[in-house]
Amino acid sequence: MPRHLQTDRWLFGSTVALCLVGAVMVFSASAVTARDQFGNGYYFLLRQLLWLVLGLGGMMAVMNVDYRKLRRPEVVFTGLFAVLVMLVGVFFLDKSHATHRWIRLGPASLQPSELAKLAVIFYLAWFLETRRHSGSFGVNDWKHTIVPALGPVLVLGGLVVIEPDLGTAVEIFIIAVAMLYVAGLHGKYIVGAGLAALPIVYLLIVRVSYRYERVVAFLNPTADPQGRGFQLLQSLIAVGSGGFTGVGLMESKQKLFYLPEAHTDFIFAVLCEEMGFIGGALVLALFALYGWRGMRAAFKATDDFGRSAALGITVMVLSQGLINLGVVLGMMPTKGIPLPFISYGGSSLLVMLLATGVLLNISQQAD
Amino acid sequence: MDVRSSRTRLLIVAALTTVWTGAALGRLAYLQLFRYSEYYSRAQHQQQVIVEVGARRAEIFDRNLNPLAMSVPVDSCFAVPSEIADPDMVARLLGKVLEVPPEEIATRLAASHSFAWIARKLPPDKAERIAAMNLRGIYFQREGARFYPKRELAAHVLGYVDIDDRGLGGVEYSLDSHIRSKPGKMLILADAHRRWYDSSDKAPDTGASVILTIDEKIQYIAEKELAQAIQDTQAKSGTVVVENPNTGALLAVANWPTFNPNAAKDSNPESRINRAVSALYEPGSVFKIVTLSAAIDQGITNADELIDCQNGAIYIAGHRIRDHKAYGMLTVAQVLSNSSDVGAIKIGLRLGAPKFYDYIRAFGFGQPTGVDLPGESRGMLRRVENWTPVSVGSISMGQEIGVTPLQLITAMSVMANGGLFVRPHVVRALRRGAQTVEPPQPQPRRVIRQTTAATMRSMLEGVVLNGTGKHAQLDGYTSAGKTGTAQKFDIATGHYFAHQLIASFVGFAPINNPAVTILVTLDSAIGAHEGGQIAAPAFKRIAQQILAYMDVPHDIPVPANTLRASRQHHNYQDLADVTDFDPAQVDMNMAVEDPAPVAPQPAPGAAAPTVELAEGEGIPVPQLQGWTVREVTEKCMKLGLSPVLVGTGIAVEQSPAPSAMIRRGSRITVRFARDASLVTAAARRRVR
Repeated sequence: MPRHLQTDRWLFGSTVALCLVGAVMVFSASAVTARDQFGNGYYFLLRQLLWLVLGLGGMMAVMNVDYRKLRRPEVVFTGLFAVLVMLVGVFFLDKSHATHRWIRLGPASLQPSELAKLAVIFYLAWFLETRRHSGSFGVNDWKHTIVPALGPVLVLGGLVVIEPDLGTAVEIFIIAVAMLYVAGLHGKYIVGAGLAALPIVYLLIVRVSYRYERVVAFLNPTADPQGRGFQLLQSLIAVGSGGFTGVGLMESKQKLFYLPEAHTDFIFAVLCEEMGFIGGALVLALFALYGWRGMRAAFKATDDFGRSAALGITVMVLSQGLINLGVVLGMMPTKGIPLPFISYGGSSLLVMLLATGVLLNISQQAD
Repeated sequence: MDVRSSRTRLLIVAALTTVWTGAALGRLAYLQLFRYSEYYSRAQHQQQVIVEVGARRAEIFDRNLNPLAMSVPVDSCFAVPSEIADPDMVARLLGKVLEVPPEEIATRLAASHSFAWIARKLPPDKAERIAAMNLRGIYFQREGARFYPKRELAAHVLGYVDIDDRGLGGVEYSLDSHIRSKPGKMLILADAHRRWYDSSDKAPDTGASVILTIDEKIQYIAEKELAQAIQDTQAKSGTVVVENPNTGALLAVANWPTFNPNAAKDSNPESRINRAVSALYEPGSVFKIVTLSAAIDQGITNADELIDCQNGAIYIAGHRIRDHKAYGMLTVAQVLSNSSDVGAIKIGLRLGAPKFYDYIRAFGFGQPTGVDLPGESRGMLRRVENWTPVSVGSISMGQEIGVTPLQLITAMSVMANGGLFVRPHVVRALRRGAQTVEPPQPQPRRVIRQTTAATMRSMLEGVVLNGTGKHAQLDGYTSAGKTGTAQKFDIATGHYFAHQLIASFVGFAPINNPAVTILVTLDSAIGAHEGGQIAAPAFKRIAQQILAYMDVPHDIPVPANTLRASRQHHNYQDLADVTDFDPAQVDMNMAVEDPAPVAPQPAPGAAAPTVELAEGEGIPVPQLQGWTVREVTEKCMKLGLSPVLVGTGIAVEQSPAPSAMIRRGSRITVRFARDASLVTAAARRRVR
């Protein structure tokens, strides 16, 4: 690199801070269930720390690699193809939790759907830039831009839906829409796509009983507090009973089997119960800081690829975080989406940190 | 599209996420700051439902490890009302099985969204019938039901528990925190799938079992003879206490009226009073042992000194006090054996108030004995500064002072054990797992000199040999003691009841190296009412059986006619055998309902009632021989049978015989024995 670059301290700091809050909360939220299931209260903490070390190492390595090296068809298509193979591959592996989401590699397991998000981001960033440079076709060219751009997104997203993992699929589409919109896609296409998706949404939500029940429960959680509304109601009780200062670290009562998925999807509820409004607002502030630095990097990026990639990564982290918070706080129906950097889960953490590494590189080159 | 408009769109996306983040922050503040108190109480509420149930109480044993209280698992039924679509129909169905008005159940269902008890600690047949209905929103929770296999036996020592298994009387109360499993480890938790999660199964600690000093057989003898005495004398109430004078270990504490701790809530509160520790009465002449021993201990008199009893009258501070009989010159020993009031007063006056008061305190009056039972009264003893001129005289003959039966027997034990105050107690040890801990006992405290105690013992023997206590003479054993007949003092009015008397006898046997001290008090007997007439014979019957049961060697020849009689009939050893006591017949249904089932019930585990059950044939009688009392009880409870347990040890006989058909709820009588040959035979059957 020609000049000595300053690391984006704000972005780096907020990421590391979120990861540390995550490690503490994973331990607090999982200690009792871990002892119950595995006889070892540190079971989840140790695994999370291992992934965290791997992820932070990966992030620091990636942030020192010029992101423009990713802007090559061989890199982008290798990624797309690898993810495609894995997404098809999971259907031939054993089911876990009645779904095909994981590839087991010895003690670790990998969620290809997490990698799919990265593949989509880099594919779109590369593809949209090529459309811009070729000059012949605009972003709004139906045949030459929109269909080729959305094709891989729909294939990957569709496979993720079949897994089934609707939450991650929605994530992928949100990322794609945001990237296309900023690249200049006409609003009418976005509205049109939304209308076209309605029947699919109907099929996927209203006709799949457990999702429909979640929506019903969201709309009226107190109608069935011990059944369908249980999860949401317990989450609200956890958050609400935290108050301003919280009940104290490790003191959550709701994590004692009341709150399902206390250390994964509902970890923010445990955090709010233990650390109160102060802790919850702090986490929101850290995400806002991350978002600001990410958007700033996209804004200042000197090339289309950098802008698109920075936007895609930032939208990935922020939208996922905000959807998770929305679920925990009862603002939207329950969806199985982890809170970036904080929830327990190796694949998600690794993907988020590697993506942040790229974002850090874009950010430091943009200044 | 150029870079500028692209950046504009970027700002729009950034603005959208900012709005979204702001909304999340607002929602967070709304939930945590505005609705904090509501969610806080909801959290409290659901967490409290959880700690309420699930406590496991440990067993209580007598000193030979016979179980006197145990917990057997039973089902309690609760509802999650929000899951119930048609509460009225559910209330009707449940009401029919439980035989309660449906409106009552409907009210309970309406009271809460998340949790409502339907019925606690159900008899197995009812639980099964409810389970068979398979109603949505109706669940069962395993709870420990406290069960006292010997029914009334030692009821006042054991105490009882409420529906939530909290100890409310006796040892159940005073050692509640030990007997219960530790709180916090007995959570009942619900997970997302609405399974109820009983973590107390995982809690290693289930509370400490209690080993009492009470001996089941001695307790039985005491209760049987007390009941007999009550019947004979028409007394309103009574108490028998048996103590080992050397250790303070209470071998029996019996009160009348008594109650069945299995159904304590249906008993008369009066019957649950442990009179042995809480009844307050004037001791009367029994208290002369304190007066005389204090004077002898001080060296101001001796057993043979002659006292002028002034033909039955004495003036103190202008008051004329009359003796029950006009005595002339009596030795001090005769003052005691004839129970002369004038003699006792003169000795008391010679001792003087301050000294006398010190001795009374040293004997433990006017303060709790420190027994490990709840509800102990400290007695009534005015401070010496507040004594009137008459007080020394009154107290010398056991008036103007209130004592409990336990204080009195403790004072008598001082004579028996050579002059030491030993704290009476009922808890021998606590057992937690393999670890047995004996609670520390305070050092015995010297009250009177050994020689004084020896003098008192021979004087007290004189009471039995040729004084007021002749009916307390034993066959084959020497005995000693003191009678008392006191007017009942009405604390409310400050006057004595005219016709209500308390008759008592407190004594020990044998004279040298006494094995037991025994107290008998009978309150408001009709007809004969003097301690020597009614309490002393009860003492004799009790002491005779206990000494034989304890294998205390005879110290005087057994009269020939008694020997003959015992050969012809049965000896005292047999009398002492609990197996002859019309057994605490055990009503497993504990609740008040009729134990007979209304309709035949499906066998446990059977998915649907079989044809023969539907015809009302019932279930085959289980093979119970070779099992312990506890195992038999649990087996029977599971099958919905009411066991009638006779004796202790291993089950050796049962009626009806195994594999006969029997209806659910029927009684099944099981006899237990420790006899070696029977037990091995039964054990062989069990192996098979």
